[in-house]
Amino acid sequence: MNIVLTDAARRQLLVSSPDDGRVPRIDAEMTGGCGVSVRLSLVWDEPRRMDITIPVGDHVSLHLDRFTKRYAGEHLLVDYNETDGFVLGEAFDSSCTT
Amino acid sequence: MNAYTDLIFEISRPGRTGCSLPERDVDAVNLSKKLPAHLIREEAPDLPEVSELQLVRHYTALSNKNHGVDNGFYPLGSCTMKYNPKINEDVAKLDGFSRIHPYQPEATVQGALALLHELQEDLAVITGMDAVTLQPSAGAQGEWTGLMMVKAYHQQRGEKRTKVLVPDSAHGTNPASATVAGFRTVTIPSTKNGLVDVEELKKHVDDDTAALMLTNPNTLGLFEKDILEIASVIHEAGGLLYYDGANANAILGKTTPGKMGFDIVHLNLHKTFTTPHGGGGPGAGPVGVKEKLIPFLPVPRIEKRNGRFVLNREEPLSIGRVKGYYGNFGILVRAYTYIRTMGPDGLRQVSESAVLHANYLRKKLEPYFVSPYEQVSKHEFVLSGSRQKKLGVRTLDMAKRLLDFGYHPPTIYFPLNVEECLMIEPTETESKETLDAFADVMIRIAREVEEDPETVLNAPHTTVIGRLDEVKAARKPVVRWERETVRL
Repeated sequence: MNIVLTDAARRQLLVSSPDDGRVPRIDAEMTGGCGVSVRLSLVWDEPRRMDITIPVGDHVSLHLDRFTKRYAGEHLLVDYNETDGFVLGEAFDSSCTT
Repeated sequence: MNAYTDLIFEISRPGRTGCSLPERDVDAVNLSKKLPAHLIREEAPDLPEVSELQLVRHYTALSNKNHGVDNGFYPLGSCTMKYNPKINEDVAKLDGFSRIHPYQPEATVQGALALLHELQEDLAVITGMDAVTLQPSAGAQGEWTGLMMVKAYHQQRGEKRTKVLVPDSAHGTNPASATVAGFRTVTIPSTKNGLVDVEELKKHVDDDTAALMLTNPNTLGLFEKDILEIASVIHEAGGLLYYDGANANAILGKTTPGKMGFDIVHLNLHKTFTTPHGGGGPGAGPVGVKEKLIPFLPVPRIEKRNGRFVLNREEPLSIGRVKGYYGNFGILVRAYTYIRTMGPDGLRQVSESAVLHANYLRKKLEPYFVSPYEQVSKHEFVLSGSRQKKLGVRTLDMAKRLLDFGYHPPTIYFPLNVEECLMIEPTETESKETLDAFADVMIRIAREVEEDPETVLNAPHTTVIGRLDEVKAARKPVVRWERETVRL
């Protein structure tokens, strides 16, 4: 899996690093019902069992669980801006009509 | 034949046929003289060519891969996947119902109109409303119909209200219907107890509020105990209270939306009243209203005058017709049959059993999953997979694992205000043995998450196909078969 951080994302990742053991995590959030929607976010979180870690330079590794990796796809761009915070790649929606 | 069952096109062989047509006994027509050139095919359509037996086996094999209430437990929260009694089908097939035509003179279909009229009256009693229309052909169309009546009601009073309030636990159709009806929606947050935050509601209610749409019990399976205060807040501001009847299975014979202060109700006959879930149709979403909204009901309205049933098309304030003819008649016959079969005591028992079953399952599963709300639930309940998430396994993984045991998974990731949500609705029609067996499997899966997570993460193992690549399906969907397509 290839994760690319923009300079802005990399800077923010380094300056916002907490010192309480939490790690940077790319996390897939699913919302459901009749349709399924997956949104990716970058959060500081506790490590989870079976986490996949992906080094992104500067001694930083991003954590993903298996579920998130499945939905993140092979290529992911992580950007950052003051308004939206971390902005990740493309998410996807699917839906049904029942 | 492979594990998927080949596509009908893949078993096709040139020249094979499933029927024989008689020799043509009229002159051939030259289509180029009858139709514009751009409407005439240059090549014959690529239709499958199979024998009758191949056709039968193909679709029988496909149908055997279906999962339905008739072959397994289906605890899909909010959807009320309960057993559809076969007597409903027997009655709907009677010649007097199935072999009539909507254009027949009223005098020749008095029995059918009597049934519709009685069903209107039954549903009015069940919901505590003053009148009912059977026209809408689905729950969501019922919502839209109700909201169009809300709009007409306010307009008739010289008001143009633009805002519809929905709680954050609402069914997705609520804001969607409001938008389609021309309103803007405002979301009202829930309290930590999962109920409408009345203080937040008060902040958003004003003279622009057309209606509040509410489900009670709500999608968390919790009864909105402040419903009378909520109704008062809305009514004092001149708004209307809309009842989404998706969860009516919990209140039959116990209370009514009318008693709770609601002005409009839609019902999903395929949920509470055991008509088939049509997967898009035919369906029925009757709408009941209080007296002040009766003039706005769709036409024609079925009425009884001087001992005869008539179709009343003369209502000047009506929002008009919302469905061809008089609704999906066959579905309405099935619901009528169910109501008459059960009777008032039977319907009350339906709700009592539905609530009992949900709470029985909830208590059995609470030690193994996070239960976000402590209070007694109604006909459905929610659990959170947040404990399992910390162990690297998500709710979706557990749902996939349930398939290995022959269960349809519960609704997942809805409502949106519960992390890693599982919404379970066992319904009243299941036996204690079924509930126990399902609970045992859920507990087994919870243990697997701790002790053997790979089994859950790679599920399902016993289905015709395994875990789908949903990302690829969403990003690069292949929805049209072409002969060149290479099957993955």
